[in-house]
Amino acid sequence: MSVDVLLFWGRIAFLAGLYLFILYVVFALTRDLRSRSMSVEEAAPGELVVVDPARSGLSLNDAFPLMSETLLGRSPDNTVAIPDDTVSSRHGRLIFSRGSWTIEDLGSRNGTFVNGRRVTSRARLNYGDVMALGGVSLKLVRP
Amino acid sequence: MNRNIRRLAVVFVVVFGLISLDLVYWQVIDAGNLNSDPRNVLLLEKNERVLRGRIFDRNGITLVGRRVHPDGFVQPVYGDPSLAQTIGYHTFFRFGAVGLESSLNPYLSGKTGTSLQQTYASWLHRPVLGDDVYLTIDDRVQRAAVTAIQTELAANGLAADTPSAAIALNPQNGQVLAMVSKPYFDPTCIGGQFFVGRCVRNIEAIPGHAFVNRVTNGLYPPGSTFKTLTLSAAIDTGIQSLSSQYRGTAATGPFVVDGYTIPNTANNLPPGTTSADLLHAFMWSDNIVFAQVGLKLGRSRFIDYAHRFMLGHRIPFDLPVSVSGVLTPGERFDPVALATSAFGQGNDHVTPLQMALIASTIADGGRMPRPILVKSIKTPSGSVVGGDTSGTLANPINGGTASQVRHAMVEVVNGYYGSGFEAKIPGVTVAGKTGTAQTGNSAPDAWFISFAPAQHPTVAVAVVVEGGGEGAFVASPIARQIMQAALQYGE
Amino acid sequence: MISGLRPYRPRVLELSSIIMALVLVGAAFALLAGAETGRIGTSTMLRLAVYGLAALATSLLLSRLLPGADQLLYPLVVLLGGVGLVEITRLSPSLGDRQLLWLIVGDAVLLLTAVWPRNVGWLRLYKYTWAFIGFALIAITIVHGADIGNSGYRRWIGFHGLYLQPVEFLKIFMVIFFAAYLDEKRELLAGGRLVLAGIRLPPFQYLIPLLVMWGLSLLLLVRQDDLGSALLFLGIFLAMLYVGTSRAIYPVLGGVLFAMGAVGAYFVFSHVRLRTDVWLNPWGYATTGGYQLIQGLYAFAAGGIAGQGLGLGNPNLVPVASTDFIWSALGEELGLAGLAALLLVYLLLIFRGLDIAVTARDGFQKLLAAGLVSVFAIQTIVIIGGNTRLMPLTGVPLPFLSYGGSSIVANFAILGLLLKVSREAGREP
Repeated sequence: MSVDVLLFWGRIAFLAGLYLFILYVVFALTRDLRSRSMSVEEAAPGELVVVDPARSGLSLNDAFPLMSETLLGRSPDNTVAIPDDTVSSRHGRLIFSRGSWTIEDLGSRNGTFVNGRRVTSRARLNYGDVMALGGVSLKLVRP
Repeated sequence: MNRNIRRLAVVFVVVFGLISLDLVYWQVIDAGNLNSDPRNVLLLEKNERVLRGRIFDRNGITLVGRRVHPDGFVQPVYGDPSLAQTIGYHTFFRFGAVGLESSLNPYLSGKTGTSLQQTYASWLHRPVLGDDVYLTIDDRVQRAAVTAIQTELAANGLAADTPSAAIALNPQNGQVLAMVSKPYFDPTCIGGQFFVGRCVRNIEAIPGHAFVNRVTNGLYPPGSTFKTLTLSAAIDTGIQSLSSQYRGTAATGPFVVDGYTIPNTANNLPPGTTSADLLHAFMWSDNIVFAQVGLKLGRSRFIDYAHRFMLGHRIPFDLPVSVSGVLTPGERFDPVALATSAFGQGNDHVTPLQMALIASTIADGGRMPRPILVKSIKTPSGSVVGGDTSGTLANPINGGTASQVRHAMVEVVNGYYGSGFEAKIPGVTVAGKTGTAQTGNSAPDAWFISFAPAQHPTVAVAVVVEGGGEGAFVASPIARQIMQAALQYGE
Repeated sequence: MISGLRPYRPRVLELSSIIMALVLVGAAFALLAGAETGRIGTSTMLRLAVYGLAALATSLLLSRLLPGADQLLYPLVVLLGGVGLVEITRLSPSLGDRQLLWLIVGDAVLLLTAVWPRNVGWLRLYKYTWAFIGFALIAITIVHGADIGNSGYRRWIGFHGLYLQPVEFLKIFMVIFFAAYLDEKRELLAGGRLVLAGIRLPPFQYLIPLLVMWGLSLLLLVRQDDLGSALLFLGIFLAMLYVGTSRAIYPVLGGVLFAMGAVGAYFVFSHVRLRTDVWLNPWGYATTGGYQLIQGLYAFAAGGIAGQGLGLGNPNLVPVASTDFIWSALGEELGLAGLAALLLVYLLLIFRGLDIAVTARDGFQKLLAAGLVSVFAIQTIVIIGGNTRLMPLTGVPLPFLSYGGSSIVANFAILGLLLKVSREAGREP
């Protein structure tokens, strides 16, 4: 095969290779996106947005994605870790079940409040409700 | 915030979409326009690398070759300058192309069709190959024509650069065998060049307009050669025969029409002759008689026959041809004009090609062949893609008329006191007609039209020498030598 | 979700993608060499080897320095940088070798960014410092800068024979500053009590940065005749403002203000007017201001769908093809098919970058990532749009493809920051 023929088909092959590369990256990208949504399979439709960070290390408007079961508390192994002295190390639990949210107080020292009302054990939580854990206020919003 | 980021992504995708649409516009939709834009340097770059087709004569003698420089630049090599106006030249810049280089450019530059093979070759960046063109020109006849003109100009004491034109064609198929327009030029410094200004100025400085192809674009009064047409019309309509008699002043003149006198010096009769029939009036080229024939024909019949012989029509050819005619636009055809037109003066203006076609019509039994210059066009792979467009242009007169006129033309060359005696070829019967056309300049133009062999013609010729004087002395020997060459080398 | 607990893993996806990209770059080098000399010489092999080894080494070091960081961004950059390198080598081998050097410096800068700063959050602490450095750079350039290429404007800072384009670094400082500022003042900017002509505006003092930015853009346009940078800064700023505040009125307002300023500049400043006229009617300036643009368009057309092939076009007919017109040079030799592929690579880079922004751990990092990605996106749009007559021509380098040390170094620094953000988000891969 002469050089010009070789160059021509090489050129076509190069262009094809470019698209193969793109396909490969797109494939990896979508697989990654899918696996990320799988790993948070329990991810539930809601976000906690900080409306009053008090003296915690959080800042205003920080948002936390929620799982269908989300642990709230001071210690870092909680799903939502709130580094504030008024928050108990294992403060409460948010549960998403059959389309609605429930907050459960896990025997915190300073209590859990929904729209200013103290939660004794469990309470229904609607989107837009503001929940106070100790001095820190968080709002449940749609993602 | 995540929602906003996603929206930002959408905005970017939309703008990228717009960009790609714009790219499609420039690279696909508008690409054709941009690629053929004459201001595009890339186009020039591409064109100068085209392996332009070569041009050969009918026997494969190279008329235009090509030389490929090491950097890929392709230059034409011109063989015969006497074909300069016919073949023309091709340039890359504003001087464009003329002649066959222009009219055959699509073939020569390989731009005909887009076969898969051509497309593939362009993808591979292989140089574009033009098609080779084989002309009907016979290099030997062409050279004979050039030599004949040179010899006869010298023999008659005319300057070597006297403007003149000659064409030879085969009346049976219209194939042009030779075509000379003097002065000609060497196109080497124009063809395939970038900077041609000085060369063009030098050629323009040659006296006599070297760029003009006199065969196709020179318009001359035909003089007495035009009597061939008048005679054909008179016999074809039946109002006259070769034996129609003219006696006394009807033959000798002077002849007065509408107060305009045609003097008896125009009768051209042999000394002592006072009468002539139409045949002898033609042989001796008697203007007095032919003025009367024109008047007898009348305005409408005369114009009708002029049209039948393609005067007033654009003749299809491989080169642009000026339109011959018997009237200038807007002119009234009064009896004086009619009478003088009948013997080739008045406002008659013809190209040598036109006269050669009139001769061909008589030669081929009343059929006017379509003149052609291209014998065949061959692609680089050897297949024939075009060329031979031979055919019939018109059938102005019937065969009987043609054979009578042919007889008259044979007598012009061979008869007693015939004006075309210089055209005689030993062993071959030649038919012809001389012409001495008054132009208003001091010396008249010399004309000769002829064909041979008279009974089965294979060559017809028209020759004009500007300011050449008597057609019988300058033009007919040129025609003779051209015919001899054509007969010698003919197939 | 906590990255620190993940075990160390080799970056398989990144390595495999880089090897694919390098195969393509190698093929491009081979095609170029084949077209030019008919064989593949040692200089070609050497260039490819140096570029490939640098990329592979960078990837390996990244797996040490930034485990868990994104694995797709760098391979995309390796491809873009490599294709640019081949085309620049084709235009001028000596320039190509310098670009190769700059790409290696870029890799080094990328690794440096991976080490320092230790975490991205640190950057926000010194936001006013970055802003000050940025403005100082511009001020020094305008006053003491060098005018390379006799454009009539000082756009370079030189010391000891090394010239830098400060604008390239300014954009990074500005994005960091905006991200920090916006994250802090988000509430205030998004809310707003002052109502003006039916538009809710925040208290005036919070609008000052917006106005400063608008002024800076116009200053670049008029003082430096640098419409590209002006559009770039404004675009980045407005994109980040929108991401931070969710209020579409800001970009709209900002865009309108800039348009008004630009129209004003058209009537007041002759060089702005000339540039616009050339854009609207390049054939009217075919031998002067429009020459470059028109040759670029001819190059696009010559490329057609499949291109002339690397080394087989005439891209050198376009002046300064290696920087401002690398896109048309690539268009001629790779055709629409090649350009579309490269556009897709840019889009993937932008997508992946914005995905990093989405998953970033806090507001500052989200804004930072979105802003840095916007730098790539807007820069690409501005220069390609200028080449294709979608907008007036500007001298902005095409990220990773154009020749230019400052641009390459700055863009690799941006890449490094994005990788850090992705790492701190604890994403896998």
